[in-house]
Amino acid sequence: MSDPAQTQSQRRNSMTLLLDDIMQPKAQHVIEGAADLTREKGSNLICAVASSVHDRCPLRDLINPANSDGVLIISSILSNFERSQERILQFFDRYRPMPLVNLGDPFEKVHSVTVNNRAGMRDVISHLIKVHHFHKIAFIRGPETNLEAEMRFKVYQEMLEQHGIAFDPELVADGNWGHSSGATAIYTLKDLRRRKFEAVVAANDAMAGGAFEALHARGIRVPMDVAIVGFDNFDGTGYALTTIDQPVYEMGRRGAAMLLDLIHNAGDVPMQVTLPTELIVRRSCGCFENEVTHAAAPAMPASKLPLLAVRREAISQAMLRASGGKLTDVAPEWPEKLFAAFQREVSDGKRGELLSEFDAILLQEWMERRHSDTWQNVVSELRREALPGLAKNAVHNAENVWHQARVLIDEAAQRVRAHQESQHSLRTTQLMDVSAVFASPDIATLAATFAEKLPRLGIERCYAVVFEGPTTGAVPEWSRLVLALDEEETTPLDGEGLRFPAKQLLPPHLLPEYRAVTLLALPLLKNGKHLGAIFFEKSNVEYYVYEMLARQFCEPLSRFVKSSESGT
Amino acid sequence: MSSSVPIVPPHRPPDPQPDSGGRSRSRTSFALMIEHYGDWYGQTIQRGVSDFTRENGAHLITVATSLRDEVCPLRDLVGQQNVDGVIVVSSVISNYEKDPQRLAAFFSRYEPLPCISIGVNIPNVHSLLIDNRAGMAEALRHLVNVHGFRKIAFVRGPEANAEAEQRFQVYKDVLTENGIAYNPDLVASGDWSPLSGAMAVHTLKDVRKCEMQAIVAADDAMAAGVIEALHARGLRVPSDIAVVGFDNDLGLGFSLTTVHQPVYMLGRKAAHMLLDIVRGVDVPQTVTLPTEMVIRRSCGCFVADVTNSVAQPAVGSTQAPGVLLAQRRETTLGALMNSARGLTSGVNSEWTERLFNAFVRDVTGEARGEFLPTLDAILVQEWMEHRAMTGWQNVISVLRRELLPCMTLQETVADAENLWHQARVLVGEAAARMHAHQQEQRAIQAMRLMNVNSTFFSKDLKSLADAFAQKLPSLGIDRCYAVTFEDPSTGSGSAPAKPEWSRLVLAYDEEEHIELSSEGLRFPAKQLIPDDFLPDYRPVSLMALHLNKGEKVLGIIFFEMGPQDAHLYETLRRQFSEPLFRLTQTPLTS
Repeated sequence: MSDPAQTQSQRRNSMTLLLDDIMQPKAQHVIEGAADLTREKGSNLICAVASSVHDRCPLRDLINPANSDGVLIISSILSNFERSQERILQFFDRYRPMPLVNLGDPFEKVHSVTVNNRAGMRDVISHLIKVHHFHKIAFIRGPETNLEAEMRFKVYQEMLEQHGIAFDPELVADGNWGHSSGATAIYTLKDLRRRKFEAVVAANDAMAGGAFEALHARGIRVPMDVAIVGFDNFDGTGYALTTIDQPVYEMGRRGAAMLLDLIHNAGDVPMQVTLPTELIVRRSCGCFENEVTHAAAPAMPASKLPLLAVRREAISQAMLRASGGKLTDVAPEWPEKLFAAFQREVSDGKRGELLSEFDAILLQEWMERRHSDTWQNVVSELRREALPGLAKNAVHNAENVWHQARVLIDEAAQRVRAHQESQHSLRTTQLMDVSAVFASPDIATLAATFAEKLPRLGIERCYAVVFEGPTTGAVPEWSRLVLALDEEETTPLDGEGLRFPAKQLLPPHLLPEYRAVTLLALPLLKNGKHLGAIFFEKSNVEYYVYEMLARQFCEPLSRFVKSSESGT
Repeated sequence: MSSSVPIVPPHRPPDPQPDSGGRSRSRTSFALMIEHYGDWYGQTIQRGVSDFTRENGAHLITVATSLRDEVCPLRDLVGQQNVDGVIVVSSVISNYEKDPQRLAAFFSRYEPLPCISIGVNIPNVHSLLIDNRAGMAEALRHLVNVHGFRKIAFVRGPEANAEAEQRFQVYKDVLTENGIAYNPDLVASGDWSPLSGAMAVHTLKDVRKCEMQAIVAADDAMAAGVIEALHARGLRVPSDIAVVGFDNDLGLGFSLTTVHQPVYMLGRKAAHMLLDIVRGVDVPQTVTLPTEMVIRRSCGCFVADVTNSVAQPAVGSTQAPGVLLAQRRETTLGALMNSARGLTSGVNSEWTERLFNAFVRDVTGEARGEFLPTLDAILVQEWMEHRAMTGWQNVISVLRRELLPCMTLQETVADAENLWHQARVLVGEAAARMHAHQQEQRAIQAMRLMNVNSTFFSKDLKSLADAFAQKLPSLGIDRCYAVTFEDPSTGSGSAPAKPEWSRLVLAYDEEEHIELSSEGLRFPAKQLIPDDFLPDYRPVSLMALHLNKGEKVLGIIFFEMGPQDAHLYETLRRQFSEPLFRLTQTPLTS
C-alpha cells in the first residue's frame, strides 16, 4: 500500500485529542493542559471534536498513523453513550497500533489518566458530616445512565452508612446535570414531599446553583438554613459553592506527557495514573473561602520575631506562593519590589511607596492583557507575614496601606472586567457579520471572505476540508482543501480546492516545520451529514468563537456541497 | 435595475390614503436621532433618554441615522405623523459637519415638531449642552497647581467638532492664566479614537522629539491610546509622564484621571426638556450640564476610593468601644448609605443597619462571627436581584473610617482590622464570580444569536419572518416589526427618495400580530409602523434601523430594546437584511 504520508516529514510529532464537546468547560481545561505540554515539547496537537461512538464521524474515523503519532481520548465520548466495557475496548482497538491514552473513566488494559472522583465525593460529604455535623442530607442525582453520576450517588449512600445515618430515598431527587433540574429537585423535595434537611449535595455545580436559587425563592437562606455543596468547580454559577475541583488541566497535561513517552518508547510508562481531587471550601456549606479566612492575620503577642528586613526573603517567597506563581514572566522581580516598597513605606515613612509599586505591577499586567485574580491573596500574605514583625507604632500606618492596596487591586479588576464586557459585544458583531460570507456565490469566494475575518478575531491559521463522495456511510477516500489561511501563505486555492487522500486529514507539508501548532478540528455538520472538517489554530479567544465560526462556515457551504452532489 | 418587488403585487389598489394627516395617539412618542448608537457615548445617551421616557409613560423610537447619507428614509420619515418631538445628538454629527447652517437645516425638516439638540447650540432650537470648560479647566489646573507641571501637551479632537474645539480652547486659556507660553509643537491632532492617541505620541515624541510632563487628550479613548504608545516607548505612566482624558468612559481598562461627562444625564435631561415642551411647560432655550474632574491614577494621584480607605486610630478616649460605637451609629448608617452611591442596595437602607449591628456585635464579642455571614447574605441578595457589585469596597472603607476611631482597645482594633480585610476579600470574590457568570451568559447569548443565521436561506418572506421572530424571545427581545418600502430607494437619484407606502412583513409582539399574509400589511410609509400597533397600556422603547443592501435601503426594522447591547440589534439587522435582499431581488421559485 502506498502511503503518501510516508513522504511527510516525521521530525515533529503530532498527536490527536478526541473530545465530544468543545463548549464543555471540562473539555476546555483538558485541551489547555494538553496544548501547554505539547507546545513546550514541540509537538503538534489536533483537538478533534467527535460525535458519539455510535454515530458515523469521519473526523474521528480518519485519525490514523498517516496523520497522528498517538491518540488521546476523553472517555466521555464513549461512556456517555456506551456502557459495555467490551465495546469500549473495541473502540480503543481501532487506533492500534498507535499509542493511546485514555482520559477520564478508568479502563484497565488501556493507558489511562483518571481522577479520583470517588475520594472527592467522600471528601465533600464528609466535610458536611464531620465539620458541620449535618445528618439530614438530601441528594440531587445526575442522569441514571451516566456511570459517573451513579458513582457519585453511590458514594453518598456509602458515606451515610459509614456514619450510621439511615438512607432515606425521599431525600433523593432526580436531576439531569442541568441548572433547572436542580431547581426542580428542590420543588420535589420541599413542595411535593415536604422534607426537612440540613444540607443538599448536588452531583454537579450547575444543579447546585439551581437548587440555591430555588431555596432562596422559598425564603430559605443558604447556608444559614440549608447548606449546599456541588461537584466540578465550574465557575459559571455565580454562587460561592463549596465543591470538588477535578484536576482536568493536569489530566490533559499528564495524558499528553504519557502519550509522548509512549511515542518515544520511553520505559516505565505506568498503565494507570490517578490524580487527586481537591475540596474547595466556599460559603455555601457554611464556611468561608480560604482567601477570606486567610485575610485575617493571626493574633500574636508582642513580637519576638526578627525585624522586617531580616525576613525579606521569606516574605517575598510567601507572596510569590500566594500569587499562585503568576506573572513571573511579565515582571519577575515583583515580590522583591513589593517588599522593598513596603519597607520604605513603614520603616522609612515614605508614603505611597507600596501603592505606587502595586499600581505599576498591575499596569504592567494590564498592558500584557493578563489578569490574575490572586492579588488580594498577596496582600493577605504580606500582612500575615509582616504584621508580627512591625513596631507597635507602625501597625496603624501599615493597616491603612494594606486597605488602600486592596481597594486599588479591586479597582483594577473592575476596570479589566468593564473592558472585557465592552470587547465582548464588539466581538459578537464581528463574528456575526455574516452577510458577506452567506451571500458568496461559490466555495472559493466563501473561503476567501471567511478567511479575511479570522485575523481580526485573533485566529492566524485555519484550514477547511470538504469530503468527497458519500457524506453518510463509509469513511471518505478523498478530501479537498478549500480554505488555507496561514503565515506561510499557502498557495491560493482554485475553485475546486486541492484534492488529497482523506486519510491524511490535511495535505502533507501544510503544518509548519519551525514551530509546533495546536489545531482545533470541528466537523462541518449539516442535518446529520458530515460535509468536511475545519481546523483553527487555537488562540486565546473564547471557545464558543470556534464553534460559531464552524457553524457559520458550514451553513453556506452546505448549499454548494449539496448542489454538487445532486449535479453528479 | 430591477424595481420589481415580488412581495408587492402592483395590481393591488391602495386601501388607506397616504396623505391622512397627523395621527391621533393616546401616548406621547419621541424620536431620538443618533448616528453612532453602538459606542459608549451613544449607548449611554440612549439609555438616559429611554429610562426617562419609560418612567414617564412615553414611547421612544431610537433612530440610527446620519446626516452624511443622501438617502436616509428613516431620517426623512420621522415627523408629525409618527412622533410628538425629536431629540438629535448633534455632537456626533458635528464631528464631520462644520457648516452650522447645514447642521441647523437638519432640524428644519422636523418643523413644527419640538426639537432638542444635544451637544451643539443650534439657533432657534432648544439645546442641551455640556460645560466642557469647567471640568477641563479643573483637570488642567490640577496638573499645573497640584502636580506643578508646566510642559503639558494636548491631543485634540476633530476640528469640526465644537466640543473638541472648546476643550482645546480651555487648554490654551489655562496655560495663559498660569503664565505658561503656548507651544503649538505640543499640540497633536486626533479623531477621538485610541489609534489617533497613539499616533499623537508618535508625532510628539518620535517626530517632534518634544519633552513633556503631561499629556491631556480631548477624550478618554485617545488618552488610552496615548498610554499604550508611551508604554511601548518605555515611558511609565504616571511616574514618567502623566496622562489625562475626558469623558469618564469606564470600558478602557486604564485608571484614567478624566473629566466626567454626564452623558446619561444628557439623555435623561433631553427627554425631560422635550416632554416639558410638549406639555406646554416653559423650557429655557439652552441648558448646560456641569462636568467635574475625576481623579484617578494616570495623573499621579490615586482614585478617591483608595485614599478614602485610610482611617484614623482612636486617640485619648478611655470609654469602652461598645459605648463609642453606639454613639456613632447614626452617622455611620448615613455614611454607609452614601457610600453605596445608589448603585447597590441604595433603594432600601435596611442593609446598613444589618451590617452595622452585625459588625458591632462581632467586635464587641456579643456575637462573634456574625459580621461576615451578614455581609455575605447581603451580597447574595444583591446578586439574586442582579445588581452590580461595585461600591462594596467603599462600604468597607466607610465602616472602617467611621468606626476605627471608636476602637480604644488594642485587641478590638486587631479583631476589627481582620474583619475588614476579610470583608474586602469576600466582596472581591463575589464580584469576580458575578463576572464569570456574566461571561458564561454572554457566550450562551452569542450562540443563540448564531442560531438566527439558519434563517438565512428561508424560501420566502413569510418563512423568513416566522423563523426570525421565533428566535427573538431567547434573545430577550419582546417586540419586533419589519417593514419594506415599495419601490426601495436607490441612492442614485439626486433627491432623497421618500417612500410613500410600506408593507409590514414581520410583526412580533405580545398582542400576537405575528400572523401576516405573505404580502404583508400595506400602510402609508409616513406612519413608520401601522397605527395602533404600539400598545396603549405601556410605553415601549424601539430601536429603528434600516434594512439595507449596500446603499440600497429596503425598509426598516424595529426592535423593542431588551438587553442594553447595541451590537445585538445591529447584528440582527444585518441578519434580516441579507436574506430580505435576496428574496426581494430574485424571482421566487418554489
